[in-house]
Amino acid sequence: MEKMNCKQVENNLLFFIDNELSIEMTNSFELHIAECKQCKQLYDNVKASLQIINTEITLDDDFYFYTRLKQRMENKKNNSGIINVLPKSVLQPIAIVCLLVIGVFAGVNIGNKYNANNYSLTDEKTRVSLLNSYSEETYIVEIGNENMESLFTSN
Amino acid sequence: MSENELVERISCKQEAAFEELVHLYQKQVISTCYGFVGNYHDAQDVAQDVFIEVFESIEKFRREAKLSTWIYRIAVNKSINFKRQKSRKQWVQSIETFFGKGINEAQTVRAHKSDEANEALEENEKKLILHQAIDRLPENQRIAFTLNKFDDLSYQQIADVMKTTLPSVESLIHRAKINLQKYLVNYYK
Repeated sequence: MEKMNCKQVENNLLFFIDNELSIEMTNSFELHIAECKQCKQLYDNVKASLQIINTEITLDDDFYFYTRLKQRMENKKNNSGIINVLPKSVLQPIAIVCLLVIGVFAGVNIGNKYNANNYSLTDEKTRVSLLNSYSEETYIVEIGNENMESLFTSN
Repeated sequence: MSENELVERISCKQEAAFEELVHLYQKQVISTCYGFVGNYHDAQDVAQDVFIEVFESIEKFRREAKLSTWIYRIAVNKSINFKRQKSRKQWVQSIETFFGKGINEAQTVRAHKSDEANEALEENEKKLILHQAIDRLPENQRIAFTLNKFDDLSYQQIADVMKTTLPSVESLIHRAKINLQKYLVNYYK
């Protein structure tokens, strides 16, 4: 019967522990760990880790489990408003979207108000400037209607 | 009380029937949840969620499978969702730890090292390593392995819970063991 090497032992550890190897492979495995200290240590450590599963699943009876469960269900029934029915993962995005909408709305309103003030000031300046240029044009036209000689005669 | 009778009475919201169901399946459900979440208190919380879900959704139970199979399915789903939420919270906590605001659980364990006997510490470490190794498995392998090892379910029962075939379960558990031993061997070497 061929002995396993260390690599083969590593690849068959769990199967050996669960008695899933053939008789021949089981014997080969046992022969190797009887001689190889490192592999024996490895086998002991892995086996000890897996044995924790066996100790962990023997849970003690929890006599108050149902009492706590019942209390929790009562609390849930009493707190069943819309806010409490909706999970946090729904409420948070809704709150963020509402805040964003309020922020955008406020920003747009403030922006519009600012633009309205600026427009009336500009409008006034434009009106005055237009008036001035009209006056100049009228004066020049009036000058054009007069005789040139009348400019040099004095009364 | 037969299974059908139990389901009928719970559908009518009879408390006595629900209490009987809880007592019948309490240990298996907590054990299943523990296999996934790795912590007894979290397992109890998740188990409570499972029974609340059973109570609220009993009308949806189609009786195509056994009641225990249906309960196991709910337990697996709740446990996996709990783990996902916990991972997200841990990610946030790790950021807080980076900025010095939180205390890392690992640091807490190290801080108490001097207070624990070596044997108990070794066992805690082995427990942590095992659960970390199981957590690293792909989801389906993790479910199959946990149901087999923690709940001692047969391959056929696991196939019923996971709504898959028996050969598929055999393959999943085989691959889970290969992956698990790789991780454990690397750690102990």
